[in-house]
Amino acid sequence: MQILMKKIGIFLLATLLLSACGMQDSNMDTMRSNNVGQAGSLARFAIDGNRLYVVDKTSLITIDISTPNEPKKTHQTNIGLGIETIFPYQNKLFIGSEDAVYIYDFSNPDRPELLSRYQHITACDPVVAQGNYAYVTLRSGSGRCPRNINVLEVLDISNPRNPQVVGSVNMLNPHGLGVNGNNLFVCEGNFGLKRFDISNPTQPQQIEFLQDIASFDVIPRSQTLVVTGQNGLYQFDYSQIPMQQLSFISVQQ
Amino acid sequence: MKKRLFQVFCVSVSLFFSCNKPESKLAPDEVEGYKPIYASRNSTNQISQLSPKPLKNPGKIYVYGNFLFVGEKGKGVHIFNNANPSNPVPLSFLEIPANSDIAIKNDYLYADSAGDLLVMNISNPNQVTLVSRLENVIPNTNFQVPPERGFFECVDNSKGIIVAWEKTTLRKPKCRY
Repeated sequence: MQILMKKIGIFLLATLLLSACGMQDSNMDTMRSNNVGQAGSLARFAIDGNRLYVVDKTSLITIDISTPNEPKKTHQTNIGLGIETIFPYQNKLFIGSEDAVYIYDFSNPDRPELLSRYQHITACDPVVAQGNYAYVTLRSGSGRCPRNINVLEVLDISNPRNPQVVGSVNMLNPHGLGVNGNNLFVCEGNFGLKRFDISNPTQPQQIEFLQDIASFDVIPRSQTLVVTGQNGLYQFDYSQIPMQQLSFISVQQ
Repeated sequence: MKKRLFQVFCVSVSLFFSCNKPESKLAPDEVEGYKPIYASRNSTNQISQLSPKPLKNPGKIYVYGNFLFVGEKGKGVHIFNNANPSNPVPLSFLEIPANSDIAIKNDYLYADSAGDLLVMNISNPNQVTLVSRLENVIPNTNFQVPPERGFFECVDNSKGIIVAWEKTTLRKPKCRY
């Protein structure tokens, strides 16, 4: 009986995994919009399945939201100091902190397992992932160590237990970033917004630099890009080069 | 208290070495720094949906279906109908004290509020309702420490919960990180 139950369990798991892969390939945007929303790269909340993952300054907290009326904290683990962002991708959580990128596996949702910690000597900001690569921005800023490092780094995460730097691009003052298909967008703070072609994922090629668009964070949807910055909220259609501004909501001065 | 002092000491030491820039450990008479802004716990129990208001200090962004959410750090979330990205229409402002993040699944919006987790039903975005609150589930939020390293006015929990930090001139501050 137990063996039968186990087999059924494995079958169900396999079906789930297969359907999840199917969604990733074809229907990602529909799923996103109907079911779970899409956050910018500076988020501290991430939903996957029936779990909400939250990072505060020091820890990763798992909350079971299968019954929204009765959320339950199921796990909390200490990560380190200066935790800033969380990005869920394919059963993994990419966590950005002031000095490192952490990769957690959450195959067991209530026991996220630390796979690796990729450490920097200086400020390390958000991280996003696509395919076998993760993109991280490092910025030297006020209140942090005065090293002059402003870089976009490409990490090979094909072995998430041992991420390797395989590319880097000098930046001015990078903040949030977003990736979708061959497009990588990097916010350069008050310097503007950059668009890279990443058809070669390890060598991002800059194809646009919008110097008038002060930007902190982006959400690249399938064709449109949402950008937030000090002056307000912009939306672009990026199906062409150059991308076309669709709308702008100004902040109140 | 000893443990806390030890933590502060460790952080100071690590800063000292990582920055290669020795700084005096003595508090100066006057220095730029942050002081906490408190609110009573009671007032943070209120969630209200207000008519749209202008963006002031746009923070985090979130897209859910045809809706766009823009955070106003510490204050709440602006909700837009974004069915047409060429013309996003402001719907309302959701006031959430000491809020920094949201996430949404199946028309339920999850938001932090001063260490609590709030769950709201947004199936009717014009009439958002609070369905549950999990207290003190996020212990170490952005609001417990100042946004930048340096001197700050020490936290006094008896004054309430911290909803923001204000940059100001401090006199002989005893805390730093």
